[in-house]
Amino acid sequence: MSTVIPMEHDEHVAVQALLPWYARGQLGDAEMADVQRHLLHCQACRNELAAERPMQTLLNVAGALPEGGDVETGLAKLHARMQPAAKPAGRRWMPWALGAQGAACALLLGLWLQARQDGPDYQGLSAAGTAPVAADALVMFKPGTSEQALRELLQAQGASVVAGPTETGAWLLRVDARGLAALRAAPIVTLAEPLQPGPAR
Amino acid sequence: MSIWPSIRKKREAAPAESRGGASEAVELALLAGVKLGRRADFDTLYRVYHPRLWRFLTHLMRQSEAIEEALNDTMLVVWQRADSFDGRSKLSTWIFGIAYRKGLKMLSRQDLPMDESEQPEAADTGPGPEQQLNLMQLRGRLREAMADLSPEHRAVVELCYFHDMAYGEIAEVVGCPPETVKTRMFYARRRLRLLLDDLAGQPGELS
Repeated sequence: MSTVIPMEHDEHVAVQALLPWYARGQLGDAEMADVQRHLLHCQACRNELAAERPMQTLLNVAGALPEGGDVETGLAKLHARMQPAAKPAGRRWMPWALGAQGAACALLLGLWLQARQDGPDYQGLSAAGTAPVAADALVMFKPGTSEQALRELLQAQGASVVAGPTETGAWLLRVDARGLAALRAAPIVTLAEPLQPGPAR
Repeated sequence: MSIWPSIRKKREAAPAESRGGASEAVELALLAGVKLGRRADFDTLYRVYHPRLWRFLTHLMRQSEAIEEALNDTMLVVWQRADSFDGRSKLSTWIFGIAYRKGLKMLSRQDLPMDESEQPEAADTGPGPEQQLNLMQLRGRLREAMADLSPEHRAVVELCYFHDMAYGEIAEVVGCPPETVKTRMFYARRRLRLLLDDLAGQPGELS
C-alpha cells in the first residue's frame, strides 16, 4: 500500500523531503535533530523512512547502467575540438621561441624520415601501439626529496613517470596495484592516489 | 524475487572509486595542470569524470545520441574555462553544474521524443534467464516512472541517490534554492514510492 501524504501537512512534507539525506547521514546536526523529533511521534513518516532502504535498493538495481559509453572514443572526438594554441593563457610567444620550435620540428622530421628509411620491414608488437600511456596514479613526494631517492623508489616498484610535475608538484605514474601500495607506504611519499576506477591493473 | 541478494552483493563489493571517482585532492591537482594547458592532466580528469557524467546525463536526457555530445560540451568548458573555477565549491559541483545546463539546453533545443531503447540490456553473467527477465521488466518499470518526472526532478533523484550529493550541493549544481530541491525530491520520491509499493508486493521483500 502506498502512503499518500496530503500537502497541507507541511511538517510531514518537510520531513519526508529530507528522508533520503537523513537515511544517508547527510544532514546537519539541527536538521537531523528536527527529523528525529518528528519521527518519534509520527508513524506515517516512520513508514516512509522504513521504505527508504528498499527504494535505494530498487534504484541501485534497476537504475544501474548496462554500459557507460566509450571513454577513449569520446576523448578522441573532444581532442579534435580542442585548440592547443589557446593555452596556457597569459604567456607570450617570443619570435626566438617560434624559431627554435621550427628548428626542432625540422630536426624531428629529419630524424623521422631517416628512421623510416632505416627501419625494418617488420614491426614488433611493442612498437605497434601509438596510443598515449594512461596514468594509474597521482603521487606527491616530500619537499626536498633527492632525485636519487625518487629514482630508486620508482625503479624498485616498477613505476614510470607519465607526466609531471603538475603545478602543485604532483606526478602522474604508471604503476601496478602492489607498487602503488608500496609507494603509499614509503616515507618520502606524501600522497599516492589511484586514478583509474575499479581494481588496479 | 531471488535476484536481489546476488546483485546487491555485487554492488556492495564494488570499490568506492567506481561511484565517487578520485579524491578531491587528486582532482584539484589535475585541474591545476589543466589551467596550465597540460593535455595529459586534462585527459586524466576526463577519464575520471566520464563514467559519472555519462550516468548523470543518461538519466537526465534519456537520448543516447546526445549524451556524448553534452558530455564533451561539458568537458570542453572545463578545458577552456578552468580558470573560472574559484574553489568556493567542490570541483565536482562545478562540473556537474555545467553538465546539467548543457543537458537541459540540448533537451530544449532538440525536443526529441524519449528513446525507449537508450539503455541496451547488457549480458549479465550473474542471474539466470528468468532473473534477467525480471531485471529487464524492473528496469522498464523504473524507466516509465522516471519518464513521468521532469528532467529537473530526475536530476535531483540522480544526484542524491547515485552521486551521494547533499541537498545543498544539488542546489548549487542545478542553480536553485535548497528549498526547491527538497520540494522536487518530495514529489519525485512520492512517484517512485508508488512504483516501489507496486513492485514489492509484500512488505520488506526488497529490504
